[in-house]
Amino acid sequence: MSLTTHPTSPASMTGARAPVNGKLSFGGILRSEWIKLLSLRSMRWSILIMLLLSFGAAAMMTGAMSSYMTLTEATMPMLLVQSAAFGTVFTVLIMGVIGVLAMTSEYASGMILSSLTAVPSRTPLFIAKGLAVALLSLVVGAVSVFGGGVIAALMVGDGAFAALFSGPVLQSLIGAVLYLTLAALMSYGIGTLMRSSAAAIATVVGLLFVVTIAFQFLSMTSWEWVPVVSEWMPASLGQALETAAVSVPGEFGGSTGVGYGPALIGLVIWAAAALIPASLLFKTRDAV
Amino acid sequence: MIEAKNLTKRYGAKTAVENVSFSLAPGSVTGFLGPNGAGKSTTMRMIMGLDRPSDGAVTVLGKPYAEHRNPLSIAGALLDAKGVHPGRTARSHLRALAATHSISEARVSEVLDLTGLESVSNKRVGGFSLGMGQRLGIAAALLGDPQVLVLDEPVNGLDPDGVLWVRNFIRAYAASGRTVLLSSHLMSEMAQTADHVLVLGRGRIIADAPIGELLSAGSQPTVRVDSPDAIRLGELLRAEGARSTQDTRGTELLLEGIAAARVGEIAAQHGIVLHALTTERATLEAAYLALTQGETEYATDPIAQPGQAGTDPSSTDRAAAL
Repeated sequence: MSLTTHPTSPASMTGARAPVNGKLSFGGILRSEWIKLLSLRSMRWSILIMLLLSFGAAAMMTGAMSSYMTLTEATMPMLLVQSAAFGTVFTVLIMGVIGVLAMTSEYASGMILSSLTAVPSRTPLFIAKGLAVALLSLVVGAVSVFGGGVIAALMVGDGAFAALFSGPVLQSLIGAVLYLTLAALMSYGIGTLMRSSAAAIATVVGLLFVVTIAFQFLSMTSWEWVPVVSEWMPASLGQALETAAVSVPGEFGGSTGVGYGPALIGLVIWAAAALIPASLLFKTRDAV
Repeated sequence: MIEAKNLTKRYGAKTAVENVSFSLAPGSVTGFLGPNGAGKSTTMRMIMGLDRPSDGAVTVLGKPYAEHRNPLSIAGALLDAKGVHPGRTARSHLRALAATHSISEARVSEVLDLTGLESVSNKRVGGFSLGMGQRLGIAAALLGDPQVLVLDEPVNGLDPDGVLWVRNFIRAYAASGRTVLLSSHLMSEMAQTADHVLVLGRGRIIADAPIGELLSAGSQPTVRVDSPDAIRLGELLRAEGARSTQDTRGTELLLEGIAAARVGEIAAQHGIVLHALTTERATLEAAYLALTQGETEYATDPIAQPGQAGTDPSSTDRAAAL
């Protein structure tokens, strides 16, 4: 294979048959970031695995819960939500990895040099990439959570579909989607701060998963700060967002945590705590 | 047009680029030379607004690159052949970059065609050879049809066809009034491509001159003589004021301070047979090595070449092709 040896007359110097007239715009940068996300095979696989995990977890949870719980009008919403959102314990990790890799893969491959040559002002690129990550996690999160809800409703039958679209259930499922999205954004911020895939993924898995287990051990102590801090960890806030609206005291998963509104604010603060320093550093650091 | 004023980059205690000033004229190709670690790549990244100067400033067409409205139409750069995500296809990579400036799909196809990547445009970049990676890097640099090209080692890994194409392309590009800054360690290639040379050593400029000037300043022309009677001829020529630049080896003489015509006349007068008589101009490589002696960041111990003990680098022009 060889370079085509076109006669390079000054008129067609860079092979442009017509003036190129490139115009940088935020819409263009957003489209660029969207193309970057969707043109990776690893990204398409991650999304597929996430959906399968979500649907599988929903089916499993519905089967398990309906076998030992008496289904009443009071417990139906909780069963649907627990089933639909059960997968988020794991799928939030996939969303986290997607958020991290959206930025760290640019540094790992050297792509960041090309990206910042096209958008040397940088901040629009950081915002556009964040929006692309948020949009992708909203869409994928909604399909996975509401798909899980539909699977649960199909398995339960008996008016479950009506319950699925009742206020509290809808609010909880939206909460689950927001949890996934805010976790992806927090991870995007952590990835930008750390620039290394391995370090950022370890941090994200630590925050979203390991911390929960650590606090389960700590809860055996009588230290007063443990339950308070534990409630404000991202995974606990996610749990609260998913179940606060439908929990039935005394039933499985009946704890409400800090409540729906505070949980949402808490997760926004977690995401902002990563994104704000990340955007400042992204603007000023050298691109290597 | 690229202008650097007192450009300095420090990494902690280490100074990578120190007080570098230069001005690259439109319509010319400037060769950027220097040993590994001399600061060439750092300077190129500062030109493209990727690294922040610790001191000083550099402008492209009168403004810092990052302050241009449509940067891709101002400058294009090949800074790292691996600057592509391996999981993306060549076309997706270019489409993503083109999208930022709303550059058309047709233009993406044009640069793929121009760099000979059309047939592999839908293959993932992870499977590309070094040369194909370079072609993709050049394609990306050309996307916005820019006024300035900054190319770090563009022919590295290219096949001879590709090298020739890049050389002709760069020459014609500059001839159309645009500015090219080009780094390479291939001296013979640089000698054929650049008009002007900028040599960096340990972060400082050690030469900034038209290529012809650098060559004539390098050393005097050397006359190479091959004769079965080399020893007697050598004695006669030295009596005429010629200096041997190395010990006579077998039938070969290398001389300075005498013209080839005079050598021929003396040989004829004494009936000495000549097998070869040539004048050898100083090479860019010799000039470069003379300039950068003692400036290398990562020096290697000299390796004694068999039968060539103590060879002066200025006479090893046979290695010019590297």
